Amino acid sequence: MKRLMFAAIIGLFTLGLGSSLFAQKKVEYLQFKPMHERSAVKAQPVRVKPSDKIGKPTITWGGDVEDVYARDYEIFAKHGLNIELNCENRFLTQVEAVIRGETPYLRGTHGMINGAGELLKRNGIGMILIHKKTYSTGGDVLVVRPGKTLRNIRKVALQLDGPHMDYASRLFKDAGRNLKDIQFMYLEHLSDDYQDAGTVARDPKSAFLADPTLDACFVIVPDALTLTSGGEVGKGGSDSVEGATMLVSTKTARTVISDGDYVRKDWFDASPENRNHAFQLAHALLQAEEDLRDLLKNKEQEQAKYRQLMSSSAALLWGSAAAGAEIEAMLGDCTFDGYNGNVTFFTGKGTTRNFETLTQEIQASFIEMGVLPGRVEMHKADFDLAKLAEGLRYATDVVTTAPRLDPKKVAAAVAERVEAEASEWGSDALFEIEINFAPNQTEFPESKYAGPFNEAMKMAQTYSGALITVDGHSNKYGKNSIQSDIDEGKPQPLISQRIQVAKNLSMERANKVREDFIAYCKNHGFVIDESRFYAVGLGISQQKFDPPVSQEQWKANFRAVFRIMPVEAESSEWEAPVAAR
Amino acid sequence: MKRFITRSCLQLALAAGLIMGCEVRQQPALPAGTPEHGVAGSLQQPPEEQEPSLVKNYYFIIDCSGSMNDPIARKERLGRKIDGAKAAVRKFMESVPDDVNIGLAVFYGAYFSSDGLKELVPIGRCSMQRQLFLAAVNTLQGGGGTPLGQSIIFGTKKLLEQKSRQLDYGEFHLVLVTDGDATDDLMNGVNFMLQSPGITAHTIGLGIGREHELNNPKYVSSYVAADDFNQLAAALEDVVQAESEDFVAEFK
Repeated sequence: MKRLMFAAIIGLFTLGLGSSLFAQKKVEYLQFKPMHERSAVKAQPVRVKPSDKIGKPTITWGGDVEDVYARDYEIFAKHGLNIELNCENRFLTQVEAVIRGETPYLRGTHGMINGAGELLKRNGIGMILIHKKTYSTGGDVLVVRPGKTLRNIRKVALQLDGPHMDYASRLFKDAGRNLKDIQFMYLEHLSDDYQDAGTVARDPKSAFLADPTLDACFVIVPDALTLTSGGEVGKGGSDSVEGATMLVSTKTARTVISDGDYVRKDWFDASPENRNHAFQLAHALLQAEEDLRDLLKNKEQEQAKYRQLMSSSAALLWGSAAAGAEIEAMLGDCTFDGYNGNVTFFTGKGTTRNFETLTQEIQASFIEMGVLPGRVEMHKADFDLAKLAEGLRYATDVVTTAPRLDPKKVAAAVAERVEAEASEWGSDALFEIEINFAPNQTEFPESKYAGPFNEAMKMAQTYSGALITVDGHSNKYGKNSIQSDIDEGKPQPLISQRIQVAKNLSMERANKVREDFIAYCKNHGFVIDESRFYAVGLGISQQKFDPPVSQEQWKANFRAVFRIMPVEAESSEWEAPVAAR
Repeated sequence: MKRFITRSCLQLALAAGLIMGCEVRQQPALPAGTPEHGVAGSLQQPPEEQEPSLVKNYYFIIDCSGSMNDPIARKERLGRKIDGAKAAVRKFMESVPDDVNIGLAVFYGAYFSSDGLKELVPIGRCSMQRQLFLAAVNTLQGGGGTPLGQSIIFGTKKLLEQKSRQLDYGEFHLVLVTDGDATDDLMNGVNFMLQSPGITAHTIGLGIGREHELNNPKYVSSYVAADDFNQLAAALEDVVQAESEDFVAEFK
């Protein structure tokens, strides 16, 4: 992801460190101030009419190729729109242009728009989402030093006002962290493509290289690959950080960084013509997305058209028509929503990852981080969805998901890891949700387990790229238990047999929890990809309390655990064949 | 040699090269040292693909040594040990459901390989190879040495391979049908089996004394006399409890 956002430097801190070339680089952190305290812009009415040429911002992101397609292949024109695209990666500039009434349209991630909410509110301006464009599905990464996890990171670098602010808050909140316990170190740039990057560190990657006190940084994929020596483990030296790894990316957290197009509410509400302009824009972009989808599918047969689009997109989004390869790479980092994705996001059909959920999550985090002083109202367009579907080829009311992982490949990989060290299995899980039960219990009814099932479902949808294992455990303690057999010196064949039976029981439990959980999701109309849920029987290898010293601890050993496992390294290795997806 | 087998079973067994005697000896000999590559193996090899499975496995090792031609001590009315072994296995198979896996190996010098071990029925689903299994059992006869220790290692390895295919889930029972007169290091085999997690051994004994290692709960999960038909199935179906249902107040 290369959403180049430039924040005003409110305060400047420099850090001189070490003796190597990179360590000598000064790190310029920004003193945090929320956007509404950084801008003195005053609201003016929108000066353009639907019949005018209207400027529409884009950002340097794969999703915006859709806009270029709509422009180049006259889809805007066929919708009666006179749109002039411009690329504006400095988000505050975009926001101020909207407040000054230069254009009614704003382009950014859902997090960025919410981050500007208070500044807009103080100017009496509301924003309406008219088109959900993409999710980041691979382009944004949390890189960590050795031993650092979501549970123990204390100091992390990221771009101010950028696309990683809500991403960071989501990850830490889901890990149970209080955001106030984390020191967010803000930087002006997303990556190191500023003029004096050789001498000053103003982006998270350069800061991570220069400042050993940082535990982690949020970066775009190319920078993550650099820091980790190609996506493995950083070797150290001038351009990587020793021992650094990619902890989690949007390849795993596939429905966190959402982006779209917004319109100024007062302009939208002012006349049916204005409203129709926004509707036509949304429809044009959906049509462009379908045409782009076909072009990407048939790019070998339509090489000339494809190359021309990449070149044209590069000219607008990258500033150079020669950067077609960069545009192609960005396209691989995002997933377009299309009509069906818009319907699910606007209506919540089949998913918990909808407009309201994301808005609520982001604003709660931003209040905690000091980005917002309180809630701000965000709006979504109330378009007639049937009318929006007119003329689209892939619009459907049926929400489905294709299997993304091959269960056999996953089974072999998980078995290998469990066999290598069963007691260590799951230690790299991002998040865990535990459920408890009685001895020899085999049913997990919704009436009793709706709470954890709902929590697991939300996690599954938020981290929709993750492998989710359902780990079953057996309790080795108690009266006449395996442990008491061991303590009493019972014959080894008996103990061995009991251990194996306990492993089988744990697997049966894991399978049943998985089945009952999937049934719960279906019963509530939520669409999940079953291939991502894999049952593991761990037998007695991981006792929660070993040994338990109270009845409560003994009971807690009867458990199954949903583990959300990152798939940064294995996602392509475990993927289901294309035909199955 | 008794041949209480149906024509179809006989044909199946012949095709698999299982029948002792002149029919068997017409089959091409296998390379020495590769007892596991039996002719029957080409019929029912389990899939190599690994996938989690809770299926139970029973791998039979039947002693076809020379001593198995002797009558069962003090129980001459039952005939030779080998006949008792076959009857016991047939009886056991009556209670074996279709959805378990079974396999069969024998040890006997004349059975193809140099070390006297031969897999007659590779591990496979009972529903698919019950008749093959019974046909093979019916053809067995005694003669030769008793590499009991080696046979335990052989059977344990077969079950470990299957355990790996099932991704470590399931049950893995080694069923030894023997009179216990080993001509090699029995404890070598027993120790190998004990060090293999999840593999449990059961003995169907033919005149085995109380002091014998294969009649000792330190080494085998169950022992049942071959003529104790009532106990045969029960011994192998013995269910151990995985977990305790009761809390105890004092933990270590």
